[in-house]
Amino acid sequence: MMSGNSSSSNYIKIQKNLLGNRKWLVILAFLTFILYNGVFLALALSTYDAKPVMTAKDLLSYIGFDRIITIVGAILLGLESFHWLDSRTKLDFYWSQPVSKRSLFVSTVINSMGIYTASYLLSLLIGFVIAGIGGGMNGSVLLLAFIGFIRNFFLFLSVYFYAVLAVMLTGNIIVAVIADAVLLTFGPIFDWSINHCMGFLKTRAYGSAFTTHGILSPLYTVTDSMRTNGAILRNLFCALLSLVLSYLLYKHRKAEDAGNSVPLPVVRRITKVILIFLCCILSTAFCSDSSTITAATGAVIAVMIISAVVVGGIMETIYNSDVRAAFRGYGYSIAGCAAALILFLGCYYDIAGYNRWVPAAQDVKSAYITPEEVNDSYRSSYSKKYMKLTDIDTLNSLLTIGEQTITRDPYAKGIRLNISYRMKNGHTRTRRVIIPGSAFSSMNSVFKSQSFKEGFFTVYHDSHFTSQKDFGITYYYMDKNAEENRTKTVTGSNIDIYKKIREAYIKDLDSYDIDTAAFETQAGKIEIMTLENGVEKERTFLPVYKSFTNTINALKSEDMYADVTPLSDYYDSDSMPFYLGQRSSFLGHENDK
Amino acid sequence: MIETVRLSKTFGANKALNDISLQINEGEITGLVGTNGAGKSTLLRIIAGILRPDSGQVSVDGKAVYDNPEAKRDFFFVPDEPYFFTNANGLSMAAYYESIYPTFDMDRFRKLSEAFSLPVKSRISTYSKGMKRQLSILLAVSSGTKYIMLDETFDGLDPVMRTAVKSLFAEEMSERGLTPFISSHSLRELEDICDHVGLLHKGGLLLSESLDDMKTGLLKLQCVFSDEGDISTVKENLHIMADERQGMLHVMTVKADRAKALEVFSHIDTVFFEILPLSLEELFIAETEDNGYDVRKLIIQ
Repeated sequence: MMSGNSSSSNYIKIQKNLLGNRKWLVILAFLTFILYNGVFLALALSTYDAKPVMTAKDLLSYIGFDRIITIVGAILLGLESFHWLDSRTKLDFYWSQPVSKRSLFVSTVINSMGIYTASYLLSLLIGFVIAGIGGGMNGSVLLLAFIGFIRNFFLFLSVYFYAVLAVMLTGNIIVAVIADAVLLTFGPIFDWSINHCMGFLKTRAYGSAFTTHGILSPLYTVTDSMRTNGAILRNLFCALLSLVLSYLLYKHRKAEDAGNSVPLPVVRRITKVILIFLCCILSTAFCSDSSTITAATGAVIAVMIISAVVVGGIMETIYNSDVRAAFRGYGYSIAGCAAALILFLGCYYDIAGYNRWVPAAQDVKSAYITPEEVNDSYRSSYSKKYMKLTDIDTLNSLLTIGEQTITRDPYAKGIRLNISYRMKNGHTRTRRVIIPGSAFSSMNSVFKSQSFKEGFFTVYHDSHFTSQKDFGITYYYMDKNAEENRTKTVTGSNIDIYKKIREAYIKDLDSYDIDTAAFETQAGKIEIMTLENGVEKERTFLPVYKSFTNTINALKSEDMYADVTPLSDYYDSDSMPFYLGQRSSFLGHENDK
Repeated sequence: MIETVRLSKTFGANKALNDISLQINEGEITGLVGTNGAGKSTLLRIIAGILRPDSGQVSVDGKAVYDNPEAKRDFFFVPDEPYFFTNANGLSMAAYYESIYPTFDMDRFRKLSEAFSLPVKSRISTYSKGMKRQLSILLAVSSGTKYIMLDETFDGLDPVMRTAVKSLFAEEMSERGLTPFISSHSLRELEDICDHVGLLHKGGLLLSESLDDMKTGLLKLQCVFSDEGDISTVKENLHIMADERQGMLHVMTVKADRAKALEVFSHIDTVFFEILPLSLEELFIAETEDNGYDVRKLIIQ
């Protein structure tokens, strides 16, 4: 072993050499980030005219180019880091030198992280200086920028190590690029494919749809990496997993693997089966996008088989770098295709009896329902925690109505509900039902019940919000052209305003029922957003109907209400029926009673 | 000393090396000869710690080589296709190696490149193949390592350059005990440079001997007998490995020392008798013929 000094000096030399050979990447990283942070962001900070908190949040969190730059940069650095492993000449050069494989690996990884971090932070600093000169800087911007950097850094790590893993799994840089694309998109495609197949179950539960939760895909976290801390953990998990795998593969990699597209036979086989499985499932999408699916089952199977043959052929061609090898390893093609067929037919014919399941009332402790259209993650978790419906017979009757509706018409219109049963054995089972307009009255007893209201409207259990000393209240309304607008946002310590609105809202909820929910035009919505150190923590919405006079008066007293009725011709509220009402043409009822 | 013990290496169905045991002694120039595919590059890449053998051991001065920087600091490997960084010039490559090899001598490199008239400030991509090889050799020599391994590096150097490199090696050997290990597909390329030669064929080592030892026991004789019957006397007293006749002239390769041959021929009446030096080629032919190999087809081009 070398002495400490000699070791650190050796390490510095390696870093210097690496940087010397990666000049183009260093320059590219600095230029890109300086363009983004130093010019674009600085100008935006200097000119954006809105509330300070929202300015920082909007600009640093929602613009999103930093994530794109991070991903592209991570892929480039990852592929470049060990691209020399695919060339015998380069491999002879590096592995004959007195540098251990471990040192080379660690140094290259640290070098890549250094290029990203230095270019990001330096450009950010330049951006802040420029923004400071333009008067667009404040403390919350700095904090958010730092949080943004941390999240981006973890995103970088996960994407970078996926690219490194792709290089380690292959012996050819072009195949490595393909492998990286597969590794990065595998998670979302896998989930989408499985759920697409489960779509044939018709009444499958939205809430219990299959998901890997981004555990195996850093790209999952891109969409919300600025919003949830879980993204950091998921990216960290992805990064660590791919780092360990990459290092093990590198350590045990043979020099003779250079040039071999996919050196490890086990990787070839597993990849082939999985990709054929996915492609077969994906191919069903081409045949199932309409109600003709029933008649097209044979076509779906044929398309699956064709997909298996084509994809298997392409993979063998890549594996062997020889088009004549296209039909080798057909056993794995059959395995992948068979797995996809089993899943498709199993779902299509509902072999497990998923659609027909109705629980016995005595086996159910309680239940909760979440309207599928209400796209509010906080409300979903709120309902899961606080809604405890015990009228199981009514819910079961809704389940039966839903099943009958779907059987008649798989694409029937109506309110889509997820009914989740908390079973006495500790399990939770969820089913999706579509309740047509003609059957809305069957839902009334549920919507009128106090247990539904307490589990649906977040004003009943609001310590989550009121425990925060800083939160914002905003009233949104639809203008005459049905475009969303807002009156004003109240921020800071305004618990009294909130309590006033809350009290009025609970009074109005006394008369809330299915008619209000489904047929009354929504006047607007109240957004409640909690803040912690200037950063948004949680937000929820409360629908305000015209009949909610107490709430409207409370809003008026705070100068937060706008009395505008959108023209019904512009009204298209399929996405939020509980907030904005239903179009008469959609449900066969008159809008706005 | 570099030592390999029972090295074997297989690539798929192809047995590249089979049970190779070899010693490369310090202070000698060792050559390794073999046709394309004989396993020379594989053996060198294993010794350089690039490939891991399926079985057997390699050591450099008693230290295992694979993934061992301490052992690798003692040698410099010049592959058959040397790699240089994109856009690099001779000086930047030297600076790179200076950071990798603690014993690298930049002054020596500058002097040598000047002596060899190598344009080290020009981009290597503009170099000819021969210039790239020269640069590799100069970098290797300047690295100051104890051993230099050259994979077919001499093949393709022009005669003037070969002579210059030989002189350079001789100088380095005498000054600091450099030990070069050279592989070639042609015996003639190594003829005037090696002290010890190994012959590799289809992954096996046919022979590995010191040239002095080989020469000591083998003689090349030319003679014209007064009485052709005297050949039987020679056959009785000397081991004749080859006897080619050109008219009355016998050209014989015999396994015997010089004194013994002179003693035998002193009792025979000859019109003409002469003892000639054996070329490396002839030595190899003589040594391998007994094993049923026609070495001329294997390594002489």
